[in-house]
Order: sequence, then C-alpha cells, then structure tokens
Amino acid sequence: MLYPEPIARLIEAFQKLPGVGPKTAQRLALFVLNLPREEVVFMARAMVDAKDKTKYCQICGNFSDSDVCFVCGDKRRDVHTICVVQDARDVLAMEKMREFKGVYHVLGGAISPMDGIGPDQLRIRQLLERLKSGQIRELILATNPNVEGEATAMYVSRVVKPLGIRVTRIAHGLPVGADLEYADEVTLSRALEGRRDF
Amino acid sequence: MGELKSHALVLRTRDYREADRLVTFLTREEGKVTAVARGVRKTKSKLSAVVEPLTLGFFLLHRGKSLDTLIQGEIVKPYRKLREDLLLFAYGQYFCELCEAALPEREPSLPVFLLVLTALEALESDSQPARVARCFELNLLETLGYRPAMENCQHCGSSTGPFYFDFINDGLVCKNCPIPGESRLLSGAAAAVMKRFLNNGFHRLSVCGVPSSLNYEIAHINAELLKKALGKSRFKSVEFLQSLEEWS
Ligand SMILES: [Zn+2]
Ligand SMILES: [Zn+2]
Repeated sequence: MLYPEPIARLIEAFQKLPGVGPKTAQRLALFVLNLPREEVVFMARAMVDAKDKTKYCQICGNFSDSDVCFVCGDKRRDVHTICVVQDARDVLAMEKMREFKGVYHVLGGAISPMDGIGPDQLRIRQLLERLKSGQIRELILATNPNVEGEATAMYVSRVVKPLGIRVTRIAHGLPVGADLEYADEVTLSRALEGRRDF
Repeated sequence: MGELKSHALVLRTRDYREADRLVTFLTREEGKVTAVARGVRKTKSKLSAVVEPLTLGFFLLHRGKSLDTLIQGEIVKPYRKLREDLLLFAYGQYFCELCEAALPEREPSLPVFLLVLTALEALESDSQPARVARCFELNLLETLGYRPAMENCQHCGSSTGPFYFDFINDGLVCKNCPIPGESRLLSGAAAAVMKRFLNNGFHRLSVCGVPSSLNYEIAHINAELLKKALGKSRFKSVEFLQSLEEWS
C-alpha cells in the first residue's frame, strides 16, 4: 500500500525497533495517528529526553541521570567488591536479585576478535584505574557464560591477578526449573565441575 | 529440499533481534550457510550451547525465503580446550575468520570443512599454536587452489637457499637468479618448513620444530598470499592474536 510521505517515514522509523517487521510497523504507525496530539508529543519528547538526559556513570559505566549512578552514589554499598558485567542491562538484572551489596563495573561488551572487539574497545583500562585505589578486595566476573563472555573473563583475570586482588567467576550451572535430561553436555560438565559439598 | 541436515562448525554468531542470533555455519554438505537461531540468548533455550562459536554439531536447518532457520542441533565436539585458553581461542577465531572469508555462501566445500576440523584438533593437542596456524594457512591456500611453488627455484631448479619468495608467480627464486620485482627474502630453513607443511599437512606436526624466527618469516609470506587469495587485506582477529602474543 502507498502511504503519504510522513506516514511512510513513521513506518520506516518503527521498523528500526527490534522485533518489528513491516506489518507491525504499519499497525503501530496507524495507531499513533489515532492518538490525541498531546499523547504523541509526550511519547516523542520521552524518547528524545531519554536519549539526551541519560548519561553513563563516571565510575562504573552504568546508565545514570547524573554523573554518578544510584549504586555508586549509595553509601551503604560495599565498595571493596566489584562485580564486572558486560552491559548496563546486566546491572539491572543483578539488582533485581537484591542480594548483591557490592558495586559494579560495566565493560560495554565482550571480547570478540572476529568483530574487531578487543580489550581496547572495552572499559578495561578504566577498571584497572579503579583497582589502583587499593581498596578492592574481590573482583567478581559476571560476564555472559558463552564463548565471548568466557574469553573476556579470562582476559580480565589475567590482567588483574598480578595485582594481588581476589578474582572470582560466577558459577555455571543448570537453569532452575529445567530437566537434567535436556541439558547439553557443556553445561552439564561445567555444572559437575562446579559442584559443592551438600 | 527445504531442509538441510548436516554436520557443521559454528564459525561466527551475531546478536539478532531481541533474543536471537544469526549463526554462520561451515556445513559439511553445503559449505557456508547463515541461519537464524531463535531465542538462543535466553537462559532456557535448548540450542544456546550448540550455536556457540567453535562448536562442531549436527544440525537441522529449514530453508526460508530470505533466511534459514535452525530447528535442531546437537553437540558433536565442543573444542573445550579452545574455549578455556585465551591464546588458543584467539587462534581458533582466526581459523574461523579465514574460512568465512574464503568461502561464498552455499558453495559446497568438503575439503575446507575437513581441513579446519583437523586444524582445530591440532590446535588442541599441539604445544605450539603458531606452528598449527602456519600449517593451516598454507593448506587452506592449497585447498583453495593457491599452492605456492616451494619445491625449488622456479628458474634454475636449484634447491639451495636462501631464496626470494616471488609474489608475482607465488614461488621460490634462488639468489643466483634475477631478483623478482615483488619479493621477500626467505631462508632455506623457512622454505623447507613451508614445503613440509604443504606435503605432509598436520601429520606428525609436533616433530617439526619451528623456532620463532622461522615462524615470523613464514607468517609474513602467508599473510601476503592470503591477502591475494581472499581479496581481503585485514583479518580482525589477527590484531587480538598479536596483542596476546606480544604479551606472553
Ligand atoms: Zn556507577
Ligand atoms: Zn635459481
């Protein structure tokens, strides 16, 4: 179907969203056209505001609306323990658990040699700067349990261990609620290696 | 038609949409094939582990209009040693990048498939990953039809080094013959190692000593040959590999 130019452009814009194909984009665009003008303005402003006003924490690299994020700004957090994650979204996932009392360091990705992403493209230098303060006792590596996340963890561990800081890696195991018989052999053998006294 | 059942090595994955990955396979039957693996970034996906880079698996793919879809897969060999050692991982990624660059989509290439599996296996067992890499590079060139002439001087037939490696005719020229225009000096020892790699492949590779000076010479020649054969001047994984090697 041929739409007038402004509508066609809106459809094109929606198609840039993840998981949105041409059909859904059309539906969304027509939905927006039927909204009251002030609602449309509100949505558009919210998007621009979020983009303009979101900063990254100067300490850990987490999303933030000020120079220091809500974790780094919280005096009750244990600043001797840093949890290293790939992405700011991983901080949110960890925070949902409400059990971790330390602080974070967001790397901004994982080592992926074929994509040209090495240590220099990640916030590893900033991590080493933080460690120089001498007050860090443990570094928890919580990068993804896949090939790239594992390589990143190995790399960080290799540069940090000589500093005499304890480096730990989150356990690999079976997802809660799943059946053992469906587990793949890599997950299963890692889970076996990571077993503990019971 | 409509589906492909094949052993395949996972060459590369890229995040796609919300929880999917685009997976580039090197299949035994049809060469390089790219397919979408749906939902594999979620913790409960059964297919997450089998589409990890550097995994050999047995896969069922469904052919789609624009993209193929991964339906089933099981791990045949996960090459765990390559995932647990940073340097070996970097070499493994380099091998995958070379294969990806060497093959067009959906052009069957059983020799490349078998070669890279042999190379990954050698990488797991050999104490010198650089030696495995040089051997893989040369045998990949040969498989693709770019075998350099390493037997003796292309002009006079002399087998005594040192030589020049002639990049126009891709072969040796001895120092008594006219120096080729585009060339690089190559010691007799390095030429002998290259010849051995081409003739014997990975067979008894571990008894072939390659000191770092020879490795350096061969690496330079191979890099030039690969650049010409694959039409690509730069392999991204090489940078990471070099930074690791300088370190150790
Ligand atoms: Zn912060
Ligand atoms: Zn000659």
